[in-house]
Amino acid sequence: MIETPNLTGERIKEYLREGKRFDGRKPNEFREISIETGVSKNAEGSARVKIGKTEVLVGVKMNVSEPYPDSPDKGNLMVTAELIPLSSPRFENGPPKFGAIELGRVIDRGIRESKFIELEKLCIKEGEKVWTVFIDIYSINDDGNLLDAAGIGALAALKNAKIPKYDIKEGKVVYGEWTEKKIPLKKEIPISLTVHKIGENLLVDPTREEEDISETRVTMASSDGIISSMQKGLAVSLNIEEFNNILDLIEKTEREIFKKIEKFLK
Amino acid sequence: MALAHAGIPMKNLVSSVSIGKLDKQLVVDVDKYEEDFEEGEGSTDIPITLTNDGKLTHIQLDGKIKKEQLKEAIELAKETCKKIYDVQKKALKEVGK
Repeated sequence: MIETPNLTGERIKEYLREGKRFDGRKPNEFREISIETGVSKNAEGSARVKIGKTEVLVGVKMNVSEPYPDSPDKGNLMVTAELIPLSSPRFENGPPKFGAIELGRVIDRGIRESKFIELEKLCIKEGEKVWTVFIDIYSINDDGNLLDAAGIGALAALKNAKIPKYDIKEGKVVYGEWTEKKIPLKKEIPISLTVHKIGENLLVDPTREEEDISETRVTMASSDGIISSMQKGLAVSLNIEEFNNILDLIEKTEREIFKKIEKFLK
Repeated sequence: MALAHAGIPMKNLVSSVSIGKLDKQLVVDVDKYEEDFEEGEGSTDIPITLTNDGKLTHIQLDGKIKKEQLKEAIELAKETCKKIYDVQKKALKEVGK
């Protein structure tokens, strides 16, 4: 396992105290974001998102299945993430570990709690048949901030998706053939963003090295200042003032990022 | 509490409270009925854990809330956790007698 050496960590902190970062960014500045949609022929929707050197692929698949007993008239949502070995020397094959599970959960939460997907419109027959939306996240290259890249990827892939044809008589999905219908989505787009605390400083969009020495982080999905979900990660505690600063920083960043990615989310 | 009672060395005690928002009103200690509240803006559920010196060790949120009101919610959690902390401390002292 290659970890960031202490010396590098100390230097990152030193730089941050002066409001600087190794790559010349300001603490509240994102790297270049690029988004490509429709990258998979077989998926209902897909997107490739790059933030600097970090890259993720997100695919949306749909299937018809039974609804859960507590939501008989609503479609289902499942988000899974795989951190595949080619994307980092730290990831191994095998059952998903903490990082992959957490990534899937945080993205799931951002989308589910904002009610971005209008699941009630994905009901075919109440109590019997509903659409299940699968969002699959794959890391292609990990240079930090997979969380935000995956969040943006999930939004772009959902926007890109078309509902496949469904054969009512046979009760089967006709894969490879699509209707013109899109997945019903709300107008408000819940952008999931993460703020990290390193030493006394807050920053967004960490590189791998910065993420390694991050002491604590807060991920929040919000749309135009309305927060729909939030989760704190890592062990170090925050005082209330720091937390309020995080809220302010996320709000500001959300507006900036929205402007940058808006055209991919039409 | 159980950890403290067992004498496991710890840095500090933490206290947790669940702050809810029913439509537009902030409340503490949400019950099952309140969690499922669906009128107006619906319910927002924010479990918060604080140390007795007011540091956040855990926070999670589901629902819909504006930044300013979330800040209020945290202040409310801070006050409530102080009360809970006193109860926790008192109980531990009694046990130790």
